[in-house]
Amino acid sequence: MKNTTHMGLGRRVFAMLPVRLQPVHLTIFMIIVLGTVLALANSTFLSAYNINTILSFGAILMIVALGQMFVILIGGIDLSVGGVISFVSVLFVLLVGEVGYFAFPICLFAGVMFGLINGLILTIVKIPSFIATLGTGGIITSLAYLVSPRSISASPSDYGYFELIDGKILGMSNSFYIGVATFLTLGAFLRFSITGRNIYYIGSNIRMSWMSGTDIVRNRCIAFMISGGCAAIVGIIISSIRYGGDPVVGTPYVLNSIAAVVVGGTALTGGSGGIVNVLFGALFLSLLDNGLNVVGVDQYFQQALLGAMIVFGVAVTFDRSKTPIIK
Amino acid sequence: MQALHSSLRWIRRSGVATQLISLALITTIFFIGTAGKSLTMSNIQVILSLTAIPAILAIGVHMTIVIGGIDLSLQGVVALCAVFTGTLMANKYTTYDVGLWIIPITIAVGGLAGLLTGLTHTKLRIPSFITTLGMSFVLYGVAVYINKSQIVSLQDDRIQNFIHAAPFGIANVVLIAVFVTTFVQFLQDRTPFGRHLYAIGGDEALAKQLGVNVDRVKTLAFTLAGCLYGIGALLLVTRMGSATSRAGLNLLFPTITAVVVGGVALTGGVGGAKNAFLGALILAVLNNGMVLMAVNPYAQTAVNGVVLIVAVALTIDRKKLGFIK
Amino acid sequence: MKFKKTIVGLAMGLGLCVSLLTPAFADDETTLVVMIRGLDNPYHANYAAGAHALGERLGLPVSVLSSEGNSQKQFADLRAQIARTGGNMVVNIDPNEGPDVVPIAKILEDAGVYWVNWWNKPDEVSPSSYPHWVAHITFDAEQQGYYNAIELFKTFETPNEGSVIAVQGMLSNNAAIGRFKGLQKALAENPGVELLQWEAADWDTNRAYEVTKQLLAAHPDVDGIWTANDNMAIGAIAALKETSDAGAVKVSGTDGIPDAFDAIIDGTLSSTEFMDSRYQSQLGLTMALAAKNGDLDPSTTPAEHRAFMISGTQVNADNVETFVEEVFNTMPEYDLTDYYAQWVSAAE
Repeated sequence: MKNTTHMGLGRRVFAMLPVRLQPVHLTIFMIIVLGTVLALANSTFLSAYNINTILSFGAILMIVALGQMFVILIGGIDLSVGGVISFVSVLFVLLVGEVGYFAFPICLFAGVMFGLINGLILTIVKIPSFIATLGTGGIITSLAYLVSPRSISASPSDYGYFELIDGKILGMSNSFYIGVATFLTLGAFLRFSITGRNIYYIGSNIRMSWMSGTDIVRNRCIAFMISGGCAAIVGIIISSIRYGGDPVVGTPYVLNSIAAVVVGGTALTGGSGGIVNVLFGALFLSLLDNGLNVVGVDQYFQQALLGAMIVFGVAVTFDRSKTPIIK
Repeated sequence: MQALHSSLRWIRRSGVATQLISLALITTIFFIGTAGKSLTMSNIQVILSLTAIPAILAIGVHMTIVIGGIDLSLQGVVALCAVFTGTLMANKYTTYDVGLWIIPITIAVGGLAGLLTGLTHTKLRIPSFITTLGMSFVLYGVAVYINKSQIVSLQDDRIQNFIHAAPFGIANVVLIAVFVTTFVQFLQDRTPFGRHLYAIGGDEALAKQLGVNVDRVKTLAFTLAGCLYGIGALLLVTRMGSATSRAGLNLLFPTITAVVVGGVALTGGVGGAKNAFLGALILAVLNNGMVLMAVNPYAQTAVNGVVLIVAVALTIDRKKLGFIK
Repeated sequence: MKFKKTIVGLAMGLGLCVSLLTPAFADDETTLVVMIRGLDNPYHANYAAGAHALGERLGLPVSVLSSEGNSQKQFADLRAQIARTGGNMVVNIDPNEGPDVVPIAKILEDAGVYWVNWWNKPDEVSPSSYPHWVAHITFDAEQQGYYNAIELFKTFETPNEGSVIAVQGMLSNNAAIGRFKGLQKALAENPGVELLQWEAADWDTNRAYEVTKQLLAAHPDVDGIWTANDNMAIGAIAALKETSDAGAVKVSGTDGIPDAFDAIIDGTLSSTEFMDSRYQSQLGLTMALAAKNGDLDPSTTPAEHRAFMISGTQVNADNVETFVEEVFNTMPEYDLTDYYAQWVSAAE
């Protein structure tokens, strides 16, 4: 008999099963239950059109959350993703008119650089990432305002650049494929590269990894750069969908991305979790938002229900066995 | 000389030395920048009365940070308390009129919300970050549901008049904030509950081994935080004379910024109510100075961000923290 | 065994929740959809109130979507609504920001849903290039800022001579920009009035209170305070009350919230302009329904009727009492037969 005192309700139930369970299995289980209920409530929930909605918008959230996860893995948090998304969404529209396709790498580079700055503030100035990124997030948002205080729209002659991303292949929106590509790339990076392994190592025991000679500054900076890069990708996608940008569009992604990471079963203490968790975490939130509307739940209940489901989701998936102290 | 020495030593030991220095620094900069306008008596009054409510909210949040957690439910609790005030005080939409009983009621509503958060966090064993994030959505949703989008004008202006009145030369709302600060600081310095807060914030496992009822102290901390949000919400609403579920909007991150600028470490175990108060004061001075100097409004968020980072870079005690996360 | 029980329990609980919260719904009736930006203020909530009144009259189901300031949620929720109704719906929408209109147009055009848009759209995008986009309607924000500024200047000790401070809305927002332009136009026409300083308060009452308090410390002798909306005007008035200048120094707003009318009666607010979002949603939904039923053909509608501005109701001390009684406190039966009854000018 396993010791079940540190386990939540969901895990205690699953401890009886013969399979070795990961938090992510519980997320998948919740998605299946939720999906079944929603499909029973309204059959259009499972239509191809609606599945495309869930996946393509879920993919956008997943990309920010993937970046966020790298920072959380090293035991940090990135509150600047909203600022980066807003800034890039404005920058991209302005640049496309000037430099054409070079706007893509420049925007990506800008995001990565913001990440690097965050990483350096954490590692060199030694300020906790919560505060560092809260501060840089404000600064980057201000920059977005200074670049363009109001929303801007692309001139129709530049629409070609935006249509690259705002299109469909085989009936699925391109943002879905970008999500898949980001997922696979970052997955491979985390799984097969030395840096990927070090990121886990640092997150689970930073003192030990430092003593064994891991370059902490470099690896932590890389995690932040990935987060910045992911935010920049989302900025570009959002710009491309809207053929325009504005300096506030990124704000909701800050808390939503963290929620997606945590609902997937990644602990905020770092060192545990992975990209599959984030995939299902983002899917769960996207499914929930969509489902509440497809079955027509009253708007006045939706916010409360969403909050309750986040708490419920984490209550089920959170792996308490690895973190005896919960802060 | 002796008095100067002992007061200097008190400041050094009190844990607010750096905050006082940065406060002095910012004040000097703005004093020069505004050619003296920032230190007129009337402007000082303005700064103090704008410090009061953020300070009370910051003290609430800092309760949860001192034990090593965090509370993101501020906006939801404030919205809920504001809506209760709007429903129960004399107004055009409802027939209730609880008069001054609204004070204990709002505090109790905030406290209950905090208790619920605390119990969810400790009993279901969910990290405070995500518990409070979810609770914020839930409470805000409930507030919007009760409020049905109204902006409720309050017809009972006794509290409003009281907090604006200044029988001692300073607006009463400032005195309320000072009283709250002193009260919480007293709890922290002189009671077992206060010592347990720091024990848990410093090393939770050790505190548990020493027999501290960790769950109960944590739940209490969240409850107390909720009560303080209730007070803050009541003051916010009565100050304006109208209640809406928007009352808590955009308060969360500025409040956390105040707590941190005041020198409360997010890792827990460091800083007290006086730090939170000072943090709120520093931000109020800063915002006031920028308005007086007519700093480009687009750039003010950036200045806040820079100050946050610089303030923490100067004040953080890296020796205590080991590895920064 | 326990595992199965949990699944069944969870599923039943969820199912119960969903079925309790789900209104009865039939596919063969056209759903009236209003998409708003949030439920926490009366202006946006009144879109919903207007839609519900119309739905009751016509016997059609109503669905309210709230984007909570999140652009992506806006697109995703619209698509969810299309999935839910199978596209049998008409939409009245108040988008978050201008650029949001492009994807919204794509989503609704692909689904063949007729819709009317309010307030924001990119200049480059025009309803005439979309067959299902019945109309883009907006208020003349510049005129609103101008009217309220002129009314404010009249209240000065020496009319049209003095100084004002201004409290701006969300800086990225078109309405905020337009209203501020209106103030500047009024200032240009009245060289005796000087704008001492402006600050942004993001449409927020508390922020407006703080900003006004500080501006008043810097400029204690102002003759009036111009604000970009009523929410912020209420904050400014609260700040004035503490310096006991409320009433002597007046504030101007825009929007027409209940507090603002009370303030006009009290003599602390000089004027506001009421925009009736109940009328807005009924007009938009009626036009979209007419297009769906073939009674209104967007393709033959002239351009000035595809994108146009309508007038709000200007409210000041002279008409506030009759206005509150006759318009604000009742749900008027709007004349929806003439879509262009409030038309003032083309918007392009």
